[in-house]
Amino acid sequence: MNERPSLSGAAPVSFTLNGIARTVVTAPGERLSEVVRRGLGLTGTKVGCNAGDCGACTVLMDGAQVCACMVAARQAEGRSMVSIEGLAELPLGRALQAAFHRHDAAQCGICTPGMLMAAADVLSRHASPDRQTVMDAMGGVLCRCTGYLKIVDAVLDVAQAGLQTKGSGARPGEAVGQRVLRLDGAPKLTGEALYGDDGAPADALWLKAIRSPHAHARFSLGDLAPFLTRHPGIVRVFTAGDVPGENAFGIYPDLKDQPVFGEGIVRHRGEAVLALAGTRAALEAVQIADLPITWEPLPGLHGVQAALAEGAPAIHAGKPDNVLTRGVVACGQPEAARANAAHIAEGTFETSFVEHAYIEPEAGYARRVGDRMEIHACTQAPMMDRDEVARVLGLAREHVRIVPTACGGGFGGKLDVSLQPMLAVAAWHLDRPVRCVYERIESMASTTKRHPARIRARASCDAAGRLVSYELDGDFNTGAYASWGPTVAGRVPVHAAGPYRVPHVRNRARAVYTNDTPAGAFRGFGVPQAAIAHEALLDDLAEQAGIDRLELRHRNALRAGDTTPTGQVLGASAGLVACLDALRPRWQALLSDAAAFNAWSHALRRGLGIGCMWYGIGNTGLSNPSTMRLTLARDGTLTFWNGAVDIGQGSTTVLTQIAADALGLPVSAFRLVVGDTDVTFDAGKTSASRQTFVSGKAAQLAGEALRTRILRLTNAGPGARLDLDGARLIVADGGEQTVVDLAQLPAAGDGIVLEGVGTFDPPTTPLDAKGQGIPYATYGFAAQIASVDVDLGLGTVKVRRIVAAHDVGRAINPALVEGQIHGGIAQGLGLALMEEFIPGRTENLHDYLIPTFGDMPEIEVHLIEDREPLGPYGAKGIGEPALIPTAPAILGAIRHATGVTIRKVPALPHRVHAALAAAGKAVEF
Amino acid sequence: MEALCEFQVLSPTSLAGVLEARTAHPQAQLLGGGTDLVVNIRRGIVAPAVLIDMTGVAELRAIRADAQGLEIGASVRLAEVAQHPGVVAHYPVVAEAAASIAGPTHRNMGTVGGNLCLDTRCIFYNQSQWWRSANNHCLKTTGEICHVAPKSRGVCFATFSGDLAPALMTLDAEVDIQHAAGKRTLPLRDLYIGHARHDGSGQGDGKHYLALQPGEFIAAVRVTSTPGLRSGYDKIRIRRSIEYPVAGVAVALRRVGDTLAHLRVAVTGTNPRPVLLEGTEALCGGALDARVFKGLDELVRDQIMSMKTTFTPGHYRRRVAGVLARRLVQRLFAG
Ligand SMILES: Cc1cc2nc3c(=O)[nH]c(=O)nc-3n(C[C@H](O)[C@H](O)[C@H](O)COP(=O)(O)OP(=O)(O)OC[C@H]3O[C@@H](n4cnc5c(N)ncnc54)[C@H](O)[C@@H]3O)c2cc1C
Ligand code: SF4
Ligand code: FES
Ligand code: FES
Repeated sequence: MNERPSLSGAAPVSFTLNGIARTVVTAPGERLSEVVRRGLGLTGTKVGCNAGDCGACTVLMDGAQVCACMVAARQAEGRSMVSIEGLAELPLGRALQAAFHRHDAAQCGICTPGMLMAAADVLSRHASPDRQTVMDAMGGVLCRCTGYLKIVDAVLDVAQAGLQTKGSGARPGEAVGQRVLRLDGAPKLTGEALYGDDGAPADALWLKAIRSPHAHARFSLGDLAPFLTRHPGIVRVFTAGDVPGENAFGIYPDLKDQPVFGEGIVRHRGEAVLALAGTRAALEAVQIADLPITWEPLPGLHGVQAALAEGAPAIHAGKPDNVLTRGVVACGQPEAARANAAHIAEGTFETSFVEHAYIEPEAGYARRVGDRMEIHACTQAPMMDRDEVARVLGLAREHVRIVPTACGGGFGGKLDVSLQPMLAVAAWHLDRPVRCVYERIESMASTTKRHPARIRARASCDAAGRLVSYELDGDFNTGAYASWGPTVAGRVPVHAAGPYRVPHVRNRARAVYTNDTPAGAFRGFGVPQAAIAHEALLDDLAEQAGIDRLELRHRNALRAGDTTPTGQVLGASAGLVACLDALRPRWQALLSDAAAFNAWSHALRRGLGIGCMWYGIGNTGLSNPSTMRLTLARDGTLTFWNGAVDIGQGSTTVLTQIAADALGLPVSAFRLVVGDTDVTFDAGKTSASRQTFVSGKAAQLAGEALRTRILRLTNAGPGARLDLDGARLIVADGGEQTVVDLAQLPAAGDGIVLEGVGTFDPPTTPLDAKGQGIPYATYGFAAQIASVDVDLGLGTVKVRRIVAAHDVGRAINPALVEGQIHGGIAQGLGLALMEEFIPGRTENLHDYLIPTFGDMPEIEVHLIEDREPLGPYGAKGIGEPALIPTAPAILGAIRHATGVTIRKVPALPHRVHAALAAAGKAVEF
Repeated sequence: MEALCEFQVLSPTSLAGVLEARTAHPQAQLLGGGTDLVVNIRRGIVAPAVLIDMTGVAELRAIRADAQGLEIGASVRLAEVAQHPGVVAHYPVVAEAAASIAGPTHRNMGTVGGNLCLDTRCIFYNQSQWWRSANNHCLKTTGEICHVAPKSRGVCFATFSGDLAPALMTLDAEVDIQHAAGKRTLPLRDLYIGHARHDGSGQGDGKHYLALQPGEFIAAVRVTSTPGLRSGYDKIRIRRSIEYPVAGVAVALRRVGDTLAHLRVAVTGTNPRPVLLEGTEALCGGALDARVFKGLDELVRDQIMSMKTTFTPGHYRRRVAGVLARRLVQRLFAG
């Protein structure tokens, strides 16, 4: 906070922070987290919830880890504290930072400061802790990216100095396939990385949105003048009328249905109706009731059944039946074929809203630079943000610049704009920097979620277990606005029959408007929901046909040369069979283990499940190009201009590894410029697991293009070795060596002497009315096994072990791939067992539960590298595939353990217990 | 950003200082680790103008635990309780309960006094100001009705979810209650008055859940020697840490030969008070057989509520509280 409110109770507090004695005047009611971040400007300590739920604010107080957001500043009087900025001075501080880097224990890095402080606490208490001790003692800090296991490894590594895994620097031309340490990793370990709320200019005003507490209501605004008089610190109120351009945004060009500020009507709880700009203290003093807003609540349509019911009112004028879009894939004659099938399985499945729960809430600032707008915020899609902001402001796109800050997790939730348009409107009018950070409740109430699904599906097979038909009808609750609804409705029918050869298919999906929170993109775009259905039905068929569940999948797995339900012939890189082969020995061993366990266990039953998936990389049947650029300047600076934002998944590192090998210089030679829309080309969104495949290919082409120029310049052959020594570029070809003095080459205005640009757009074709075509250039494949224990008395489920096999084409950086798989499994486990967002209810991180350290199973990863000829060095994608098989595997394991199929996720203890009781399987002990 | 609630914090260092501060500010609220209160203040649920920080009060920070007895000052941190060798050795139910609370960060801040006086919880109460204003508030704050039980006739069913209280109750703990004129001692079970009787006969509910008079506070909790007692605590949760109990059960029993000689069972996370099951004496005196378990079931069924105050249905919480109780009794009896 830059302006301190002069409140009567303001009083100085004295304490020691990172060895320095400090006296700070705090406002009454301020908490330690605010004093440290705003009062002292030490932004390494993060705030994820302000409620004791996430641990991002963990600091050491007299040596013990505490949440700074729950400590009243006064309670710090006389205490000695350490925050991330002081960690390096602690005995094992540097060792911990190095180990976190080595083990890739920080992905997005937003939890990392808190994690490191908790780790320092653990190591100061236990000289040689075991795994369990570390997991218990760090259980107060949440991480949404890593799945925790690499964090535990890093801490144990420091404790035991034995578990060393080595990252490598990699020699020129050999970066691909190496565990290159995350190139943007270091600042995340020291607290220096600047996230959305960390770097706003000192003179920035604050912005606070006022949101509807009602899911559906008409509203009118009264006279705002008296309100402004009562709140002198508030500079201006912004409403729909202040939007200079179009008061609308949305993902699809023809579906800009979401307003920046509601105009007389709100369609979901949490929709913004206006925003206030002013000092932080003034905004904090505002209650919604202070504003002259008259609400007229209207009945709301909640859930797809209500929205599709006969006579339901239309939520949007253009969609009388509330159906936003329909997607279909049809081939063969499913009905006729099913009639002759040996076995039929069918079922209805239901999933819930799922919250991304990235630990960093939306945050950033905007500033007007002449007639241009500049926005610094966390995002997954800078170019899209630019275009949206330009439309809202009525500016040409070139007049908007997006500079992505470090992004504390996204998972799809930061693909849509959130605070950017509002910030832009305010900064435009005020001609002064304006900043905003969502509070956790606001973030959860207003931003997109995973679509809840209601799926009816039917599958059939012949006597030998070969799949004959698959039919699915899925309704996806897209909430009040379109967002990514059409993507989900389009993607689901393509994938819904699973990664199998199915000759007769009819899959239909609808995205349905309701008055619930808008649903958008979340790791998998509806495919995880559909996978729950197809894997449950395959288990059914296996049981009916008397065939082992893994063998049934093996028999049906798509292989290179097979035709998919959209009529696409898979040319290469369909590695499901290899995944299943890799899992088979573990499957058999774990089956015996479960049988042995169940022979004596009474209330605990052990079960094993398997889940398979496929996932098209990139956008569905749409062009989605990426362009990458490499330049050499006359001073010898080699710059990688990379428009793909790294939200923790590691694209900055992976793309540089690719570019390095294509060019023939080491990773360490590169200067990296990431994401800034003014200086990088459009790399497309960081979504659909596409950055490694699409932008990676573009990076490879850019590297090759620059290399070709260099070789041509020196008349060197393709095998030449490059070296960069200051401005001297040395090209060695056989025995000959040519030295290019870059300073002597003709340069463009910006000093650039050589350049290589690469563009790649995966070859696809649009789908026709029956969903036939080539929706994706390549697919990732995976299979996972889950071993679980179900408590028949309590209905609780403990996942013991996951064995995951993923065909990633080529693991450009195996450490990062493993990290994606661990994190995906954690989210899949959450989806299966605990995560249920209820609009208007679970809008915080203690009612909305995500997995903690102690919930993680042991994970074994098998990387299958069935090279994709189109991909960079054979690579495909991993981001989303990591999550998809987990929930089906866990649900299959519950069924194997108990004989009960759970049809509504999450499988919370009370749901499992009810299902067990209904089947007469619940026990009293 | 959330509404900033201004409060002043007083930091007395002695009991006398606390009493002085209480006299000077009768409306002041006590602050332990703040892991409950500071969150509630931020939510705009409570808005005390003055907080009295108890954590610096020397007299309240002592812990004594040995075979002779247990005495814990109100300002002792939960982490200390969980790790204290004397507690672990002689009063395992207390150590286990303390170790199960929230996460390590919370246990380093949270105090015994704060945990025993933890505010009751409800899905209609632990919500933002913004949320509650759109939902007409409820009885526990400024509203007219209870959304959980609209026909409750003024009774609130918000749930007590502290983990320590049931553990201590099975050991027949007493609390020392301090006030300006001196001190009084109460069986811990009588501290909790949230009987929430629909018929209006009980004095307390989820809103008035403690038998503390204005100006009174907890100074210490005490257990006298419990030779031969076996005790344990277990709670159901959906994830491994940072979670309130879906239901928590504490059991203390004594076995003499093959006879169940003494049995205490207490349950948290279900009613507006931690419930020390009444009638367990009648189950003692014989072998641990089906009769005991059936009797225990009946006690749970009659005394444990199933109101929908949390996201987990009440009937499930009641049912599994019974399962946990049976399991603990069986395990402890077996040794
Ligand atoms: C994410 C999260 C998870 C949690 N999980 C659990 C859990 O699993 N189990 C559990 O039991 N609790 C849980 N809690 C609640 C809380 O952290 C603990 O109950 C803790 O013990 C409260 O202690 P405190 O000292 O921080 O209390 P405070 O917040 O300081 O105070 C709580 C209440 O007690 C009053 N009080 C404090 N001291 C005294 C005294 N000496 N005499 C009279 N009144 C007093 C205060 O005025 C206040 O009303 C959780 C909290 C969070 C944020
Ligand atoms: S039980 Fe009823 S009165 Fe009590 S907090 Fe919940 S809704 Fe309010
Ligand atoms: S910010 Fe403090 S616990 Fe989340
Ligand atoms: S790395 Fe832990 S939340 Fe992103």
